[in-house]
Formats: sequence, C-alpha cells, structure tokens
Amino acid sequence: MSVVRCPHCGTANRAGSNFCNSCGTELRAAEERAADERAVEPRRQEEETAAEPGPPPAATPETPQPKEPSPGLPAAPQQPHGLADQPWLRMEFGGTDSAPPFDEEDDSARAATARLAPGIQGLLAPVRVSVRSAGDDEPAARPRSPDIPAEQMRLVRQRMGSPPILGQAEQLWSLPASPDLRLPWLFLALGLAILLPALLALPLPRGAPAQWPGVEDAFDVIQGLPAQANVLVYWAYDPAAAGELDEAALPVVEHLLQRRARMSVVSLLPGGPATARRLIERARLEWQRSENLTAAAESAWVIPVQYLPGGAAMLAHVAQNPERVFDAEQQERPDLAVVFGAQAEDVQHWLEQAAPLNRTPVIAVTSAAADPILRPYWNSGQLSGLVSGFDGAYSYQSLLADRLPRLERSAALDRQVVLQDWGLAIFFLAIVLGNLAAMFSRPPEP
Amino acid sequence: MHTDRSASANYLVIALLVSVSLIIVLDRTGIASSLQPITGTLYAWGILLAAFSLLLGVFNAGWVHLQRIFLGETNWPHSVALVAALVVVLASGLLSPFGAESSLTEWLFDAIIAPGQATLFALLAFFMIAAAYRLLRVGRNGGGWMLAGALLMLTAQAPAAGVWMSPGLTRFAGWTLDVPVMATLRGALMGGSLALTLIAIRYMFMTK
Repeated sequence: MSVVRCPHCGTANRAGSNFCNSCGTELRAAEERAADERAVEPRRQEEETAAEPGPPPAATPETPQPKEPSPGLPAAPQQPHGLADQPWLRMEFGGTDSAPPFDEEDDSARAATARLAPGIQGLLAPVRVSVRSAGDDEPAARPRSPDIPAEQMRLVRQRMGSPPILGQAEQLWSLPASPDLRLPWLFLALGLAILLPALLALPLPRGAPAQWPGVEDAFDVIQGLPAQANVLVYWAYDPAAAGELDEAALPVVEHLLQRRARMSVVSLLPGGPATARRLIERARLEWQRSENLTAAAESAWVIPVQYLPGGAAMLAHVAQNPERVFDAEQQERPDLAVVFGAQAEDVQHWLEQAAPLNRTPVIAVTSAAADPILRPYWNSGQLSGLVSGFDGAYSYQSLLADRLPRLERSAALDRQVVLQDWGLAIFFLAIVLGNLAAMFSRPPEP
Repeated sequence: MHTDRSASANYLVIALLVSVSLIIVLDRTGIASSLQPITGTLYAWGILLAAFSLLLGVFNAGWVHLQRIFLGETNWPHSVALVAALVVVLASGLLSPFGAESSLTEWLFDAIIAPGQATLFALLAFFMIAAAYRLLRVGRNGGGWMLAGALLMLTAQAPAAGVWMSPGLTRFAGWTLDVPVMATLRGALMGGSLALTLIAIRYMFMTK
C-alpha cells in the first residue's frame, strides 16, 4: 500500500488522504509535490543517459516514434523529455490509451471509488490509521523550515504535544513519586457507600439541601400560569443524564400538569423524545395518585413530543413557527418556555436562538454542574427561574408539598438525599487519604 | 483529483453559505424583518438537509462496515455486531405501524440504550474520586487553592452539612460562584473570543 508522508510530523498516511491522520496537515500539496518529483525523476535519468555516449535507445511498440513533419508544414515543437512512458501526452498521439486506469502502486483512486460518496473524505469516509508497510520503518524525513532551525521546531512540537505545566516545572517534578495507590479500594468504598444505604436504608442525619435562589421564582412563574396555558418544552437530555435530571424535572412537570398547562415537547436529541415520554408519564401517574384522579379523566390528553434534526439552529425555527410544534388551534405565542437541559450550552442555545424571537419567559431545569454558568442569566433576568440538580429538585418538591398539600413529596428524592450524603462522605475520605498518603510518602530531604 | 471543477464547487458552496448567513443576520438583527418568510423556509430546508444527512450517515456507516466484513479486515466481528444492531433497530421501527413507539423499539430503549448510557455516565463518579485522590493535594502547585474550593463546594452542597454547619457557609459558596468564579470564567471567555476573532481575521486577510 503506497503512503504519503506528512511534511509536518512525518507520519505515514494512506495515499490519497487529504489531511494527516496525526496532526491534520493538508497533504494534497505534499502529494502533488511528490507526484511532480516522480515525474521529474525519469526525466533526470533520461538526461543522464543522453549525456553518456552510446547508441540511441531502440524504439518499442509501446512508445510510438514521433512522426516526421509533413513537407510544407512547420516542424512540430520539440517535445519535452520525460514523455517516453506517457505517449498520450504527445501532441501527435492518435491511438488509444492502453494503460491501466490506475497505477497499480497507487490504490488511492480505487479507495476513492469504493467510498459511498467519493471525494468527501473526512466527512464520510472512515478514519483509517495508516498501515505501515515494508520500507516504512525508516525515520521520516523532517522538512527543514528556512526560518526556524530544526532543533527549535522539534522543541516546539514537543511542547505543543505534551500537557501544560503550571508554574515552575522544577517544583512540580521535585514532588515525590505517587504513593502506592489503592484506587480499587476507593472504588469499592464508593460503590458500597451508594449500594448499602440504598439496599439497607441506613440511617443518617439527613438534613436538607440548600435552597439556591431561583427555585422559588420558577415555582411562582408556573403557579401564575393561566389555565390551559401553552408551554413549550425544550427537552435537552437523554438517559445518560436522566439519573439527576429526571429528579429535577419530575416536580416541575408535575406542577405543570397540576396547572393544566398544554405542553408541547421538542428535542434535538435522538433519545430525547423517549426520555420525555417516560418522565411525563411518571409525573402524570404521581399527579393522578396524589389528586385521586382517574386515568380516564386525562387519558385523552396527549402531549406531542417531537424530534428535530439540525442542531441548535433549529431552535430559532421553533420559536418563529410555533405551529411547527403546537397543535393547529394553538398557533399563538407560548406563555412559557421550559428548558430541561443537562448542559449549560443547551440553555444558552435557547436563550440565544429562540428567546429573542418570541419574548417568552424561560425557566431552566438543569444539572448542578450547569448551575454556576447559568446563574448570571437568572441574575440578569433572562431566566425567570432556575432549578438545578438534586438540591433544586428537593427545594421544588418542598415548595409543592408546602403550598399544594395535595401533592406529596417523592420518597425517591428523600432516599436520594441520603445517598448524596454518603457519596460526598466518601469523596471527603478520598481527599483526606490522598493528602495523608502524599505526606507520609515524601522522601527525606537530602 | 483536485481540479478547477472542485475549486469552482467550493466557491459555489462558500457563496451559498455567505448568502444564507447574510439573510439570517439581516432578519435576526431586525434590519430586514421582511425576510422572515425566507428565513423560515431556509430553516425548514435545514431540517430536511439534516434529516437527509442523518440517513446518509446511517447508510455510510452500514456500507463501510459491510466492506470491513466482506474484506475480513481487523475486528470485523465488531462490524458484524454493529450491522446486526443497526438492522434490528431499523426493522423494529420501520416494520411496526407504531414506528419509533413500537413495543420492540421501546424495549430496546428501556433494556439496552437507557441502562447503557446511564452506566457509562455513572462511571464519571469513579473517575472523579480517582482524580480527587490523586490531584487534590496541598503539596502541588495551586493544589491548596483547588483543595479549598473543592472542599467549600462539597460542604455547601452536602445536605447533611445543613445540620451542623451555619447557613452562612452556603451563602459564602453562592457568593464565590457568583463573583470571583464568574468573573474569572467570563474573563477567560472574553480572552478566548478575542483570540479567536484575531486568528480568524489573520487567517482570512493575511497570507503569512
């Protein structure tokens, strides 16, 4: 298999590659240069042969001789050297091309035709690591920059390829070697700290999570919705983050159901609609149980859940065309938008792409990790409410239980609070153990 | 392979991109609000194109892995598993009148996709405890500050801490997030954005 060397890092890439597999340098120019060199090499050999005394080379059937100029016609211009094996490039060539369509050494063209969409390498073609063939073991010829010495370039590449070092490197490397780590024991302790309280209902002074600002505002906005209000829900999490986000979303959806809001759900994630349907069904069951409603009373009420491909740009389309997600008779502007997002970017995308178009109040229900990044949006008023993580879920459930006595607080959330305490205790233990291990394994000063 | 034709196609794509961007910018900035029907159509086309590219991606992945199987390339059994899963999930949705809500598709989601994704995400806790054990140490450069910040946030978020600790600790943690952390974060974002803008300008207008 023929290869092309990257002029930047020397990696052997598959012939026909547009970019280097290792560093991403564009290889087309390098390949064209190599092709030029391959074309120049026989020319140079011919010139060397011509310079030596001896009989002229005999004509072969594959290399047609140039025709003699016809009388009365000007002589054909002198053909350049190097066309002995490329008769089709001669002006007087009138035969058929008997050469194979592709060079046997170069399988790049075959590979290109084998692709589903040729010529779009990098977008659709699979990423293949170069296969080293015989002769590839020689060290790659590193190009020399005319301006920067090779040694300096090597140092730059080494620095760029290694992780950054904060502060003075000497201080960092002078630390003692890591002590004998017992990470499996820590992993076991963490697993047991989660499993045992969950299975055995171990008691612990539970306390109550802190109520962060923004939760009560979210509650008040939903509580103030008129009956049959249109609520547009942007569902931006899937089962990967459902362990945390389901607990945060459940009381909010339950509250929306209790307020008889007409929800329409849109998601940009393939797994989003299925996750949304399950959580809404769970919230509906909780609500029906707490209010002693019959399933038949609400069974006819179907909440539309849609998946939209196209990424964050489609959020503007949703905001501009509410009929795209609402029922036909609900084409007016939504009364509220609720974003259930695992990452801060999900909420930011909505605030940037959709919120300026329909001027609808927005409530964000997010993970605890997204809270610090989104809190300024709540401070500035762009978010009307912010519910994040288990803390936000617990606070919202408490508000529901206090102000709407018919709705009970979820027992699962109480259990979650205990598990959170046990998990955090193990984290504290790991930090203390790590510092103790580093302290006692420090070698004596010389 | 790299002919003038492909260069012309590239210029055509760039011209289309610039035109569409210009229309959307004029509409979003309110300079030409009358363009809204056009932007709506463009967004709808975007959905169609995204759906088509999704299908193309599925066919491309299937084609690539079928080739790997037929050529017997390295790890071809993995490709067999991928193609089989692809066919089963596609068939479960396409052959059922309920589509993506068919019973088999729902079972695949509940029994395989959801637990698999949740399991992978749950591994994050083990990575975090390993990182806490190795890195949150006083002796490292800046380690003391990192350790103090981590302890403050862990304590403020622990529900049990509310029993023993003062509520002022939670308020202090909130102030830390709102003021110094946010100022640092925004400074870094601003610096990164300015650097990106300068690099873009240099890339577009300067040859060297």
